[in-house]
Parts: sequence; C-alpha cells; structure tokens
Amino acid sequence: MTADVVRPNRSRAVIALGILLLGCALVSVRVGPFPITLTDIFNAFSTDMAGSREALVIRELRLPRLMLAALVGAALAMSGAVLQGLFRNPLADPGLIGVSSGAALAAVSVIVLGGSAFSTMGYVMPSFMLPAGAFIGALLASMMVWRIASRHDGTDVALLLLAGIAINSIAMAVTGLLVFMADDAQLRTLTFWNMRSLAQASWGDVLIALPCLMAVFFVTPWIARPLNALLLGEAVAGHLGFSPQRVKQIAVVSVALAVGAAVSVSGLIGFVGLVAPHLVRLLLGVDHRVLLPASALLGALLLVLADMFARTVVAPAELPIGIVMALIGGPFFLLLLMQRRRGI
Amino acid sequence: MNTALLTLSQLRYRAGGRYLLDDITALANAGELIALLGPNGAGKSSLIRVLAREFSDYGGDIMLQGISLKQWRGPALAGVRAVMPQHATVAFPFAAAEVVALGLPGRHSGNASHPAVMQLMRWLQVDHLAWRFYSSLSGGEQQRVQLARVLTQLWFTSGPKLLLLDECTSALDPAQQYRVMAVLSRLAQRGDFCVVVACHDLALAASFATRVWMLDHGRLVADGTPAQVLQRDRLENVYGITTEVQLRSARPVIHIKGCSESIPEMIPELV
Repeated sequence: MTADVVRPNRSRAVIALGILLLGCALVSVRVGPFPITLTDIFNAFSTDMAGSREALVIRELRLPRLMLAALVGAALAMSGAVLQGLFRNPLADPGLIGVSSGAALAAVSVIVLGGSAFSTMGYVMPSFMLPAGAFIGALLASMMVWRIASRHDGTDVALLLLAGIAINSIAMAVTGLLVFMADDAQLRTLTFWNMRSLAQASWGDVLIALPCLMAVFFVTPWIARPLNALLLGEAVAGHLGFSPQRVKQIAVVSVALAVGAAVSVSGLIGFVGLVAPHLVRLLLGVDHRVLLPASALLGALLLVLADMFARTVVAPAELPIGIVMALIGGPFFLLLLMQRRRGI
Repeated sequence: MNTALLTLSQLRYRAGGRYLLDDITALANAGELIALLGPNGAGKSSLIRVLAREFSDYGGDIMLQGISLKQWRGPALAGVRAVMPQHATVAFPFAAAEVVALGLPGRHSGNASHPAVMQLMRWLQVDHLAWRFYSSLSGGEQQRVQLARVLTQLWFTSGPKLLLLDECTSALDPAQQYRVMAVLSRLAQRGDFCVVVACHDLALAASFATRVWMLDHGRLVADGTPAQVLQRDRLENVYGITTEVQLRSARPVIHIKGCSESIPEMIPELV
C-alpha cells in the first residue's frame, strides 16, 4: 500500500512563507556591525528622527541591500522554476545551464569592447548598456541550450548539463581573454564589477532592476497554466488548446530579462534557482500557479539569509554571497543527482 | 444535423519526400466508434496527428463541424476535439488527480478539487488512485487516468465532439484493453462522441467498432462496417496474412492461420 500524496493548503503555505520572509527581513535589518533596534526601524521613517545615524544606516545601507537581495533571490528562483517547467527537467538552473554565465560574459564584453568603442568616439558608455548586454547574453545562451538539449519528448538531462558546462567554460575562457585585452581603466571597471556584490546596493539599483527582475512575476498569469500543460509534453499542450511556441517565447524572454538584471546588479549567484523551486515542489506540488509565487518567496528568503550570513560571519569583512550560495546549493545539487541515480 | 462532424476530402500529407497520407476522403459522425486499422507504416499515426492539428501543412480539406480545421481557434478546438497519446510521460511528481485536472478548460485548468475530476475518475474506476503519484501507477491505470483527463477536456461542451486515440490499448493486457474499448463504445453509443481509435488488434476492432477505416500505404482502402471491411481477401492483401473469417451476430471473428511471406525453414546454427 503506497501512501497518498498530501498537498497542504496552498494559500496558507504561501502566506506562511511571506510572514517568514518578513521576519527574516526584520532580523536582517537589525544584524550588522552597527547595532539597530526594532524601535530604530520604526523611527527611521518618522520625520523627526530622519537625520539620525541609525536612520541613515537603515535607509541608505541596510534596506536597499535587503530589497536587492530579496528581489534577486525571487527573480533567480522564479527563473529556475520556469526553466525547469519549460525544459521538463528538474535540474535546469540558470547558473548550471549557462544562462547566467552567458549574461556575465555579455556584461564583461560590454565593459571591455563597448567601453573602448565609446571612448574612441569620445563618449562615456551609457549605464543601460551593461544590463542590456546581460539580457542579450542570457537570451542567446538560453536559446542555444534549448537548441542543443531539446528532444521530441522534453530535454535530455545529460545534454542539458553538458551544454551548460560547455557554455560556462567558453564564457570563462572568453572572459579571461577579454581581461587580458583590457586596458587599465577597463580592468578597474571589470574588477569592480566582478567583486560587486549586494554591498554596493543603492535605491537607484533597486529601482532600475525592479521591472526586469520581476519580469517572470508579471508574466506568471499568462504562462502558469500552459507550463502545467507543457509538463505532459508539447503535443499534449497543443491538444489542450495552448500554443507551446508562444509560451516558450514569453518564458525565455522573461527569464533572460530577470537573469540578465540579476547578473548585472549582483554578479553570479548560483543554485537559488535550483534549491527554491525544488523545495516548493516537494511541499506544495508542481502546479506553476503556486510554484512560481512560492518559489519567489522562498528564493527571496534564501538570499536574504545567505546575505545576512555573508556579511556577519567574518565581520567586519564580507564573504561574497555567490560563495555562500554555492556552499548551500552545491551539496543540495549533489543530493539531487544521487536521488536521480537511485531513480527516485 | 445535416453536416457530418468530421469530413476529410482528398486529404494528403507529405513528409520526407513521400505521401504518408494519400487522397483520403471520408466522413465521420457523432455516435460512431471508428477503428483505424492498417499495418505498421500505413499512416494511422499520421492521420491521427493531422486530425489533432499537430501538422497543418496538409493538402485537401479537413472540416470539423463544417469549419476548416485550420480556422479553429486553439481553446475552442480543445473543447470539441481531444487527443489521447499512446503513452504520456510526466516529468514531475504529479498526483493522478492533478493530471486529470489539467484537462479542465479555461480558468479551471489544474483545479484538482473540481467535482468533474472525481466524477470521471470514479466512472473510470481510478478514483482510489487520485492522490497517488502518476508515475507510480501501472500502465493500465495511467491509461485510464489519461482517458479521464481527455474526457474532462470535452466534458463541458455540449453537442458533438471528436475523440482521437493513437494505439492507446497496445500496451495493455486483454482485460484492460476490453475495459478501455467498452468505455469508448459506451461514449459513442451516448450519441455525442465520435471516437477514432488507431489500433492493431483486429479482434478488438471487430467486436467494438461501428465502422472500420483500413489504411494501406497512406491510402484509405476500405471504409465500412467491420463485417464489410474485415474480409479474408482484404486482410491478405493489406496485412499479408491468411485468415479464416466467420460472422457471429453480424460481427466478424478472425482466426489467423499464417502469413503469406514464408519464413525460411532453416534456423541458422552457430559456427
């Protein structure tokens, strides 16, 4: 006798995740080298305390950083969930299959090649070039992986991951070449960009990145049902009255926007897109109408926690958040692989 | 109804430089259970897939309820035409009821708690499996869950509907095959379903179908009742088998005696 599948109340679970995220956000604002109390947080938004050091730290340092961590986490987690649905493959993660490194390579190319092109013309490169480049890089990489790995009945896990390895190493090699070619000014920009983390977050960053990061969130009402149908195969989705081609286009473009924006504001952060959707599927099932928003909340939660860990554990220094996520996500990924080996 | 539910006129479909379907003209009405027979490669699957609108680069005309198949809009078509695949793999851990719920039209799609899901699962005797993982079910159980999904898709449309099935019984044991065919037959008898089943089992077709379409090399070589189509000479010409066919209560009973292509006497020996 096999046990029945139990699905908890989904709206309650999503609300619980939201409350948990809010709680962690409060803790994250308080924790740091400069102590903040709960009353400071409330005071920071009242006019008579607006000039205090506490208020400045909260408003200009902690909050934008918190917002950016949450947004990037949500964007990467939703991108992972959408890619997994699209590829019909639970191991598709924007970092693993090369979408993120495609975006990063494009960003580096923009800094080096675009930078010199603009400076020979005597202009300063406009700041939107970097995220735009990252978007195009992410789009090209995901289309290429799609081409290589898709078969009539979904995607081949081995081909998917191998294509990811190839794209990741090509991106690394070309990035190395570009670094080799770069002049001193470009090298400085590159190093800053490479070392860039959520630490430099400002409200400007948050506002610019917000619409792109949330691209997947905005298209969820249109793609959630078709993505569910796509899990039965492209032909079946067509029989059910959906247009698989259209869903694919919307999904790939919105994922590229989100991943491109995430990479251009926070560098490469892996595994969020793998861990968050997987846990949500285990708890709440595979329905994308729940999976996408719940993954967004859990992804935000994960990255807020990882960021808190990254900036406190070796304080006053900071660990790069990518390393923290890799330390959590790497073993998780190995566990998933071992499960698949046993055919679970 | 003055027009047939489904009209095929001079239907041709070409792929890889040859005609997979060649000049097919036929009618199908609601209330019919049509068995699509023919040897491997005769074009059964191609016909099902063209009717399912998986390809639209066909020649000739397909009219569904008097409207060209190419002009139907996706969601409207999904309400009157459902397709059951030969076998469907599900990549993620769906519960059976969740698979069935994917057939629900429009905004209900995916609502496993919708009453129609349980009603149809109960009718097909898979309600006790509703909250098992789809992938843990046996072939026959998966088949009936898929049938429930396909029926939920059509359940909310009144009027004639078309149900296409591609070799849906080939992986099932005799009891399961009988069960699926009996369900399809019941639907056709109700009068609003036209069921087209591609299959290999002559006996099953002979005992359940109200009409048989016999395909050979992409051509429709016979169209009629099982007794009219399943005759000794035709089976020899199309399949290359020698048979003995008797009629019992207007339905043919086919006994296969051999195949016309002889198998060499000698079994090769290891050297």
